[in-house]
Amino acid sequence: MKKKVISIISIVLVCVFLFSGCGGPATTGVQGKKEEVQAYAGKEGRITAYISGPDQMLKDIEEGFEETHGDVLDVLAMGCGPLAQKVNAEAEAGNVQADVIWGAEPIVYIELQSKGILQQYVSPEAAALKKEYAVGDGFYTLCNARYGVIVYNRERIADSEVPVSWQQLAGENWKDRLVIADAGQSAMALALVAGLVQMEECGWPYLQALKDNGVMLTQQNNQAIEKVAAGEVDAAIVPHDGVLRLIKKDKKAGIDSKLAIAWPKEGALSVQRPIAIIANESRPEVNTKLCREFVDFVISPAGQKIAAKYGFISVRNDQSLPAGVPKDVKGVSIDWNNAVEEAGELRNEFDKIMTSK
Amino acid sequence: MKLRKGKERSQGPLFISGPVILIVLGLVLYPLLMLFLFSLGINLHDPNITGAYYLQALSDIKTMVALKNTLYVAGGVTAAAILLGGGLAWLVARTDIPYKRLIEIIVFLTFTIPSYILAVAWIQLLGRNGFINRLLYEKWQFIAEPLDIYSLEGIILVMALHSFPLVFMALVSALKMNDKTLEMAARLAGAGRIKALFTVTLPLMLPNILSVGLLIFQQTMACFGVAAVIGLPTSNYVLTTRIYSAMSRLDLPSAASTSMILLLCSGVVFCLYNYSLRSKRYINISSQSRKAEPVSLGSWKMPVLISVFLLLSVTTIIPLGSVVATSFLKSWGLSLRFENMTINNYLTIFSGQTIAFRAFFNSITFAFIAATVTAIMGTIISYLSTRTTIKGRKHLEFVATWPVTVPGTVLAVAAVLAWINAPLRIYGTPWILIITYIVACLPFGVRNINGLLQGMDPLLEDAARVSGASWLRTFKDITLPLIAPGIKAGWITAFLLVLREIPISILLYSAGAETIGVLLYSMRSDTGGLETVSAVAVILIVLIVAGNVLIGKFGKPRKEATNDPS
Amino acid sequence: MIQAEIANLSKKYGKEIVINDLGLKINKGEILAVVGPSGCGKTTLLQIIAGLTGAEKGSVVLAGRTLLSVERNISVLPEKRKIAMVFQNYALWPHYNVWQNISYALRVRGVEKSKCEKIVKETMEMVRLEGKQKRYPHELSGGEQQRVALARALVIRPDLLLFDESLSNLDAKMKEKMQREIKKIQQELRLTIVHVTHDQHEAMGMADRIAVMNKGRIEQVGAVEEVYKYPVTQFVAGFIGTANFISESLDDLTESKLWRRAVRAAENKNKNEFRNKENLLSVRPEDVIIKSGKGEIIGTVAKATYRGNAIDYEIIAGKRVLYVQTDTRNLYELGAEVSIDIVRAVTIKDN
Repeated sequence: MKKKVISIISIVLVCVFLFSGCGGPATTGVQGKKEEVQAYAGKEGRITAYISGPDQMLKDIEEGFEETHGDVLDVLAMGCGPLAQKVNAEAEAGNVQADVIWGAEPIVYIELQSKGILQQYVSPEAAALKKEYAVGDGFYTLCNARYGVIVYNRERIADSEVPVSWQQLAGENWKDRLVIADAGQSAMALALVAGLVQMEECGWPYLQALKDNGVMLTQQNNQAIEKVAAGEVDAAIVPHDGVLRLIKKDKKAGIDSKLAIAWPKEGALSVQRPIAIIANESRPEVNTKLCREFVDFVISPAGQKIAAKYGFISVRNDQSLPAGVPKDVKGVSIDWNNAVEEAGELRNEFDKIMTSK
Repeated sequence: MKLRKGKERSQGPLFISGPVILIVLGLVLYPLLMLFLFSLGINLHDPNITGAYYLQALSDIKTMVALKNTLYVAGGVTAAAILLGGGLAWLVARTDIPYKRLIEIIVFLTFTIPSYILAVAWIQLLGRNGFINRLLYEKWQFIAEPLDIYSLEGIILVMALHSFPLVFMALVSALKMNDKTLEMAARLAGAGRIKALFTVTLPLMLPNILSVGLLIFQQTMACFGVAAVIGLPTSNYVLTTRIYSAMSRLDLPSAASTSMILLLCSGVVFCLYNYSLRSKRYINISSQSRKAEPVSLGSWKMPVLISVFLLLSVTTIIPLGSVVATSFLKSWGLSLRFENMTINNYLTIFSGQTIAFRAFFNSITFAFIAATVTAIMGTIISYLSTRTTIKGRKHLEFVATWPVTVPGTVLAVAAVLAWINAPLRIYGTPWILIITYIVACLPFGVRNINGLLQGMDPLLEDAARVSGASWLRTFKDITLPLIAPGIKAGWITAFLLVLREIPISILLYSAGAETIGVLLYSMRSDTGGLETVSAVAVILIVLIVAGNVLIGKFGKPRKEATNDPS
Repeated sequence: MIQAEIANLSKKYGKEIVINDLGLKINKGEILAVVGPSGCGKTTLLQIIAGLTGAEKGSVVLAGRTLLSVERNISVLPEKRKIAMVFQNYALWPHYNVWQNISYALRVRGVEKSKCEKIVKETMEMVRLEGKQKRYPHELSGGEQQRVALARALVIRPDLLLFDESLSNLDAKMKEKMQREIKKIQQELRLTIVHVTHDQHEAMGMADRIAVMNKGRIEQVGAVEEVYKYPVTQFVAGFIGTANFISESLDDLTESKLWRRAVRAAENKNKNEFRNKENLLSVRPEDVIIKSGKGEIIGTVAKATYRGNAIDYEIIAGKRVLYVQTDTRNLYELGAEVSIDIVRAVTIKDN
């Protein structure tokens, strides 16, 4: 037994030394990273985009872009979480395979920017962006917005009971009726929590009140919606676009959807989906041009119309709201830089409140 | 019947050990090593070795609570799965209970349900206003408090129901091969039926039970899906949910170091396993094997049969029924009335807008390759580990079974780190999926075969050698037919695991190499809704059952000759 | 003529020495029984001969062919040795029927089908298994399984046939019957057999010669009668048959008298050996004569066991128990005083 333990330890140690030896050149590689030419994974004249979003939307986007450019775009569809994790893992290995990434939340992009893997690009289309969305210095561009709202089950909540404000959910009559996604598990959930905490009317006491009200957690936002649809709980705080798509689907199936959205009067939490070009020195010029044109396309009226079809809010000042979003909707911006700075604190505090008895 | 201690065997297979060791080191150890380096903080951005992430993880009370929960859940699941799976296996393999084939099929079906779907089905039954709670608590007032599925015990329940088929499959094949004369001898010597079970059968089966128990324990530690669905709502964290949390905040080193804690636990358990087997090596495949004299249940037959089917209806039929029903719903959450039913969900899947056809084709291809490689490598590794005296053979077995403790997401990230850079660049091709599937399935292959080989009398092989058969001939004529049930079980397990695999798929797939996992995930995370996901699951289950029937049909004559006493 | 020779054989498992510089010659056409207590290394010896395990030192030569020579780095694979073996639990292959089990060695060797069938048929007749070829091992009785194992070993007409405790699973009657049959077949085919067993009766019943093994060494080899009559060590004397060990005692008068009596009755091949006063003597129970009434050495009957053809007594003489066997003509009651005489003894080596 003892012999076995010793031999396992020694194997591990030998391996560590071997690899730390290999780590040597890599170390110098980091300082000289700018000079080092990173291998380009793709082919000339063809770019790869990692995108999160409904499959059908990605198909429409790809078709729309390729209409003018020909068959030049490979889209790898994935959820927001996997998108961030995949890009991050590739970045850690020093070789991001994507040319463009689109989806997830600004928090992720600020993190990736700090790792130095995003390439600056200010699209000419950016001039048409609404003021509140024209942020950052071009390492990423906000290209759609989603609203954090309250989704509720119409069969379990009478019209008179429909919440009109965030504050209402902290009330006693909402005990054991609410679900939100875990800020420790999903970046989108973290964004929503950041928004609620930053909101003057809410802050941490609000989340504590939700906890006291027996709020349930899920790993992802769509699971929270599932729970509302199943009638297990009555309402959830989630991004609006997924709910709109489900309502649309129900309508198509000829049934009256159980789901409905309540738009809080303090304002819906505006969480944007950015797009960014990955930095890669060895990318051929023609590919860089394609990347930029793809970003332009996504922000262009054509691209924005496609996204609006799937419930996303346009960032442009010349576009109308998607069907199902009230005209007078009030969006509350979240201070992303603050959210990123406080991210650790946010997660810890959230965890502390939610695990308290 | 004990094996001679330290018996040194004539060795033929040394020539294959080299490549296999290399493959295991390359496919399994190398990615895990990359992960280990990250956990030490060695990466491109901050190449200084530091134990900070470990200190941070270990000093964090959250990690400790999660570790405690993980061990509690893993222990509970292992015990429950062994009781349930082992009991059923004994009934099927050793008694005259009727409808054996049906029981086997139903248990098998349980394993085909994706764990996420199973968890959701159970929430419908045991959730706050779940069916069972309404019945037991509100209507009959049978219990003082509503049952709460959102607890550690709830995780244990769902995961045990999900893993007991593994125990069942492993133990049925072993019990059928077991030396029944010993049990009969004990009966003749005056031990009652039950006493014979406890004094002879159980101790004889110990290697198999421990082998599959170890697997369940390790696998449970690594399970994320159920733990997230059942544990998170009331903030019951296990290590995997903590790991996923670190992943989602893009903190790879913390995720890696917490994974290392999991791996360490797994290593300790493996050592305990080996230690407990050290003094207890029993032979249960020998000449006297397969004396088909089933224990007669007598007047107990009907009550036992009824309770078995009641049990199976709870473990399988009801959840499965709920999946099938959901797949026909117009919208998740609607009540089960005829006007709410539609076949549109199935039509949508194959409407041509989705990747469904390609996903099914890819998954089945990958699963076939991965399962076959797994079965071959599992056989060789088990053989080296139990039949040779090569130095480090136990380490080889250990390394090969290690990945079972690594959550799929982490395994996928390790694969990214390992296979993205030249000259080992297979990232971005379908091969990275296949390789990672193999790594994830290998433990199941090794465990399934190892138990059987450990219980097989080496004299049977010696007899063949003395009769003039070369090592290879002996392996082909004697060893292989006798461990065939284990190889088959390993193959099927691997095949099913790949088909319903999600986390590895979504992180490693490339354009054109979409899999069922990718399909399930994308259906779930956007417009599809749970009803479409259920439809995909139903198609998957139908395919698996059809495949199993086909295998059963064409594989029958061979099977007749190798096992199946009934 | 020597069929097989084993020389200087040594084998260790870890630090434990299992075979210790062992030498053994096996004559052609004989049955040599290797007996010894469990753990003495006899099974390991068989496995080395069969090539199933290696050795640290020594050589094995069979029919003029070197099968193993550690020094010359020769080790013939088990399948190339033309040795057959009958295992303790028979090791029949459960997935093969009787015919497949028996014919396996021939099929592996690529023997022509018609010839193969002829040999298998012959062999099955020889071991009287006619009509059972379609049965599977688990459908056979213990005796039948034994016959299949034997037939499986016989089909290749091996240069050397090894029995590893092969009869120990059978009941006494069956065992005797099998012994006779094996002996008959052995003579018919002129086989050379090494039969390993822990049962001295089994060994004496079948073997031409006996090798007594202890702690990895052969202590004595010889014809059955020779080993019984002239054991060279205390171990052999005690293991083959029953023996009373007598040595000179200074504080026990009876013992001293017994010893002197035994020395006088000592009958050794090598007379020099018993000059040594420290010598130990072995006296077989049947070589102790007891009579009722007074005599030079007196004992008391403590236990009597009726054996049918003989009676075993335990006699207390002085401080020791003496094992005595007499015919059934003279019966002594428990507690009866008897006079003791020793008619035959051998000096042996102290272990």
